Amino acid sequence: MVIFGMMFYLFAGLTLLSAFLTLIARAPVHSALWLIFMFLNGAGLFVLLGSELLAMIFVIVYVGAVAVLFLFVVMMIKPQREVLKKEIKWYKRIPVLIGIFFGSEMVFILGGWSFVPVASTLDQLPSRVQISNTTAIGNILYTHYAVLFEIAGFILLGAMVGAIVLTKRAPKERYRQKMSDQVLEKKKNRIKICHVDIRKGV
Amino acid sequence: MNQLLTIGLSHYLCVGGLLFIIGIMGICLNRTNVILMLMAVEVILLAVSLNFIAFSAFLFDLMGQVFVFFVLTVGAAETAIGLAILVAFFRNQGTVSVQDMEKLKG
Repeated sequence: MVIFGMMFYLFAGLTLLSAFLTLIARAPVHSALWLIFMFLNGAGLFVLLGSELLAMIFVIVYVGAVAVLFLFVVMMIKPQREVLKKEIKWYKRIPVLIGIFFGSEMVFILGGWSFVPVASTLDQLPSRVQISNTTAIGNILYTHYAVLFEIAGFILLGAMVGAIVLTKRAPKERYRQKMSDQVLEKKKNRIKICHVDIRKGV
Repeated sequence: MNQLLTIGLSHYLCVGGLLFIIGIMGICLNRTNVILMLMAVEVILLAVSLNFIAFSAFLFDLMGQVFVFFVLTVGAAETAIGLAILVAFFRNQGTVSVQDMEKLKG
């Protein structure tokens, strides 16, 4: 139990720290790397909560795909480093104050959270029964939520098509009618008048 | 000390709430580039997923975990589309700074 608690504090602290560093890092590449670290620690928290499947999916999807996509885009478009215009500096403080206010409020409220006693009688089995988390999720994901699962697949398909359409560059040598070129074309560039002798050819 | 090391639901909810606040602050404060905004959205999604999974684990109900699965799907799609829009924008304007995005004309 003690090890469990210490692991929780380790993962939670590192998650919060790396989330903070993601957003204040100077170079965007560092932000992307801190984002990867944050997702790894978040996956650790998920494992502590007993949902191994989602932890592994998080590692695969976010660390393996999304964060690498971020790194790729950051390296491709080279965003410039922090250049702040002076006159807007003051206005940073208001959101910071609001954030601290709401953050501490959340900690106070959520820190004292507990269920009403009735809630424990409403348990809906899966974790109590001795089957693994992956089996339990698979059992309901492919039966009760099969339609939602298919819709999720279509969302991903749509995202893929959209991303390709948005980033595809039109090829330069496409055969396309250009009115201006046609109108401005001179006769001498196109037509050559030859005087051909009979039986000799050009 | 022993009570501090016994982890309950409220610990996870606090972590989720703080992550959420950090993400919101990242969106509000960041004025340099849009990629950081997308990263802040990812932070917020992680906070929400953490809350879902914490409730799911402590209420012994798998619905929360299934829902995180769909949140993850939508999050991945959103990131792909967002970054594609960003690349297209960079090709047109040559910058991804938030300060320079003041034209609404296409």
